[in-house]
Amino acid sequence: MNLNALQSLRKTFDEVDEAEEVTDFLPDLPQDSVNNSSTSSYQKGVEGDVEEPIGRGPLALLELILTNPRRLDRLIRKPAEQPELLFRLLAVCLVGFTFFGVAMSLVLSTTLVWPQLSAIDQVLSSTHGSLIQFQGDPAANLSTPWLNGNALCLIAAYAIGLIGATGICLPSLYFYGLLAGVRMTMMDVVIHAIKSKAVAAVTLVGILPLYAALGLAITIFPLSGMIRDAVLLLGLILPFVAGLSGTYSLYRGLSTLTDTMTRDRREYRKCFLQRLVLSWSAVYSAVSPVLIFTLWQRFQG
Amino acid sequence: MGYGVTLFFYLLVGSSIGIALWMSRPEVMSHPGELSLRGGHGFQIWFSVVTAPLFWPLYLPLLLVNRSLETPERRVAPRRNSRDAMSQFINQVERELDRAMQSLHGWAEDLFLSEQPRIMELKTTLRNQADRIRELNDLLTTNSIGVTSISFTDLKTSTASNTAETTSDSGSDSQQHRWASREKTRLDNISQLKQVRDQLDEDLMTTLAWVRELVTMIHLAKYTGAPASRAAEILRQIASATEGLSAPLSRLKIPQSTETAEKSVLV
Repeated sequence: MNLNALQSLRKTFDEVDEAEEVTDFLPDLPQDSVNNSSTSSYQKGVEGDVEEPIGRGPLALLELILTNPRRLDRLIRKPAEQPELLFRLLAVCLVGFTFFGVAMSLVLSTTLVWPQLSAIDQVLSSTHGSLIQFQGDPAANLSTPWLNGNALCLIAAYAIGLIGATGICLPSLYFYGLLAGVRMTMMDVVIHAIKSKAVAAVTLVGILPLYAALGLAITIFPLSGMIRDAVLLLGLILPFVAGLSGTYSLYRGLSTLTDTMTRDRREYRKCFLQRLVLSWSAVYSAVSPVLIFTLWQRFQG
Repeated sequence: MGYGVTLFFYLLVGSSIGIALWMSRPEVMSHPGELSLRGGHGFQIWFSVVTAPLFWPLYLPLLLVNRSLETPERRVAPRRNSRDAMSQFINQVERELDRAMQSLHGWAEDLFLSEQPRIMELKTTLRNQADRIRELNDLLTTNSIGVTSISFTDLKTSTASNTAETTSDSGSDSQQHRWASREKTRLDNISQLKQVRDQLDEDLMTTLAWVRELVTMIHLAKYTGAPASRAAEILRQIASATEGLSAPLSRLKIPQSTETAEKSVLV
């Protein structure tokens, strides 16, 4: 093949490349938007999915999680992208959960109530008693939890516990993935799990303003102690509510891995995968509260 | 084992993994003596070192993947120009190939599974070839080997002006001859390197074009109702495309060094 032919071949590649990048994702798009020539901005967006790498800025990944989760699902499957994404997703998790811890501490400190934790073994051995009791301290003021370190304990327990529980549950996710017939490496498992946590963290930060409104309500209005405790308890379990979006993200991410199976297997294993993701979420939901509680109790002494 | 002991061992393992992560960074691998955490991955390194003691189960697979995937060749070769034109050509061909492989579903299902490793091998070979071309391009375009010639007189003048010494003319002639001879051989070698680069480039482009052609043949065979054996035959041809890339250098004659040539003449 002579050099002229090679040059023309390169030009052909250039032209075809642009067209193919758009059509690669056509099955995901509504057909009318594809056929309509006026939707060039949409097509540019799809093209951008392929061409543009994730920005370096701290909010770039956040934007991707919020605006284009499918692209994130594709990106985390690329081995070359995985190490960097792991750091960045972990950073998003830590920032999100820390933000929640700070907000929760603020709500608790403004209500002048702080949870008193009882040891799990003592609660289990006794017939009555609860793990958490909200007790008000007449001598306390707004800054007391921040000065005596209680707020820091809460923040650390949630941030470390929620992510640490993912580490504990990783082998089970790997095992469940193998059971479902999805071919994935341990690195895939880690990145999918951390991505689901990052999505949960972002969702958590998203619903925090709503909870803050409730927190303000119990501070301003003279409500009964039972309602106040219920609202505070809701705040403590808020990460698990937000975790539902993480679970869905995990399922969606793992579903993309079904293309490593043959079509007939995919047909009957997809529901199996659904159940396994649900099982893993159940395991995580059991492990993480225990870990958070234990850490919190230990930190508070 | 109590809480304190468990925590101690947990943090100990985590700290070890943090150090291992730091040691496995590319900049540390290339400059092992430098205890620097600066550079493009500075934040990542600090972040991993700080968080690894707490979240080491998440980092452990990363560490193992790093060690298992990074062969010495890959460690040396920087990930430059990962999105250059050549990569885009290869990406394009890979996409077409993947789509062709997917079209085997429901037609030649067994082939899809059996030929997958060979197709992966082909992709790896294509990328390796592109890496080699990229390395050669870097070598020839940067000032690593000095593609321009330096005349003996210029060198002598600059040396003499630096050292303020003079040399005898008789010695200078023989030195000039030897210099010119070696310089010529050096430039010949660089020229050979350029030929090798061109050859590799041409082979790669030819192979890519051939794979594209075969890919269209798969689609054609499928939609014209050809038997699955036809797909098998085409896939075998695609898989054998790597053979065209394996021995391009044998066609080029590698010259001997001047000194070796002189010795062989004396013998």
